[in-house]
Amino acid sequence: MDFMTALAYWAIAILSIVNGIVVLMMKVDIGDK
Amino acid sequence: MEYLAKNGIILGWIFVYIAICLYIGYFFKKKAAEGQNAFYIAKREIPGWVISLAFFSTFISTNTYIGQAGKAFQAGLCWAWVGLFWTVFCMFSWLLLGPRMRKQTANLDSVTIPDYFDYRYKSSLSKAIRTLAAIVIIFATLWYMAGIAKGCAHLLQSVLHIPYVWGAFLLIFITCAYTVWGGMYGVLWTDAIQGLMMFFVAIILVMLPAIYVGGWDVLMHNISYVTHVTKKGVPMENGLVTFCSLVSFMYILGIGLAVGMKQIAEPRCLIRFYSVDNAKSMKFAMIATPIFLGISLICVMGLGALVHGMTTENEAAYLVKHTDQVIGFMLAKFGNPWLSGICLAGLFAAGMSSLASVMLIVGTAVIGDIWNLYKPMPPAQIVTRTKWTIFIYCIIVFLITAKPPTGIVELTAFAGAVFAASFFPAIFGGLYLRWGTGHAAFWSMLTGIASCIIWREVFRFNIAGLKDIHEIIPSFILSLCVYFVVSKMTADKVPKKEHLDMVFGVKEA
Repeated sequence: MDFMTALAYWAIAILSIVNGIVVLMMKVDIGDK
Repeated sequence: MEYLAKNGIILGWIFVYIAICLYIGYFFKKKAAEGQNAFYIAKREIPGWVISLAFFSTFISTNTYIGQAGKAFQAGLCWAWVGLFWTVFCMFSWLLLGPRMRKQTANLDSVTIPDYFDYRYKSSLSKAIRTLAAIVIIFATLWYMAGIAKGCAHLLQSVLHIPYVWGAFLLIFITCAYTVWGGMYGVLWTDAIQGLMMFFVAIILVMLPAIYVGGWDVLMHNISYVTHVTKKGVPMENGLVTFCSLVSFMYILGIGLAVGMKQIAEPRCLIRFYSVDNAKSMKFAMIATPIFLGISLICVMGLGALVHGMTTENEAAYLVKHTDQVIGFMLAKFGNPWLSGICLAGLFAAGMSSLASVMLIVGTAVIGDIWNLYKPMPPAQIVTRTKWTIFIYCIIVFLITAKPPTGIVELTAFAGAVFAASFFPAIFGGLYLRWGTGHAAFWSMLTGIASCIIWREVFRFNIAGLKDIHEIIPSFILSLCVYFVVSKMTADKVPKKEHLDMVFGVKEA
């Protein structure tokens, strides 16, 4: 598998993890008490 | 008896799955009938893990597990780039839209997407925006539902030899039953079960070609250089593992955007945000949903390319022209009825979860956003009439599915582009831009619909070089520009500060 093809699979995995870290550090406000 | 002996295990799995769905719908019957808030948005009291799985299973349909997975048979492993775009849009949807949408819709007491436009923009065109949005939902959804039902009915026909019309009938009306009984409660909890099944089925599916040929190393070696031919009869050679040698990047981008953007614009996805019970649940769903989606897409999006490793040249020559049959072929060639039964139940779960969600959206659009808007009815009648609307709409969808027009799959994809181009600017502007106006929302919506139709009918297939540029790209940019320009031109129509403070949840000092 060439680099650009493999990149898609790795990018999905890495982005999901980065997203998780970003959300953990965020303050989520949905207006509930 | 011979039929039962041959298909008993598969039928058994499907029967158990259907019984669970119907039980869940029936279980929530009483709770869903408590009123419009209960039937439409489950009183905003659903835990985050349920919403997360429900969003995932609603967005992903049989089209992904059969159509997109099979498409990799033509396009190679680089088809996973489509999955990458979808995952990015999933994150975008949960990070940027989810929390604000939940907060603003609760502040406005909004229970549908069209009524959000009405209450948020509070302009002289509010009623028109709400009606237009409801009409887009009713018509665009028709093709989507018929497309999904058609895919599942064909699957039932090819695997279990159930006549096509009977397959479509069973699928549509079983889904209709638990949706009508349980309303949003039934839809979300069955979606969660279906999402779990789909997640594990994706992992099972990707392992089958490797198990069949004797391991991952053998499989990757088999597909790294093949003598199988493309649709045009040219040998694929190392195309399956080489970036964009069998398909153009513009085509990948078009499908990646047109389908992926549904997550930021389609009511069936966005309505999920309404039902989250608290901030902790929202946070959990924001983390978990891209993980559920990402892992499933890693497994499924390149699956067709892996199937090359278990096909002969003659089989490949046939399948490359019939990519919708690739996954069915793989299951049949693997030849394990237990696994086939589990995977088939997972594929139906993918179809039914999407069907149930859009059925409910249509019912709420017809009754909540059109009928009740122009001829208000007593609250007690809203739920009953919504249920009847869902049932009647299902009959119409069944009649279309029984004799589907040619090109229904294209119509389905086109409907997704119309949603993204016409709804996104009004939603994003409503959530973030205090200076966004109702006039801008209305005209951007109309521009989105018109430009999708014009690009597809006038430019895309008539001018050389434009074929791979999906209508979503120009129409999305155009409708976004219209929203910004018209908002500036109608700056005097911005709702009053007190209204905006209430919408955005700004507390007075």
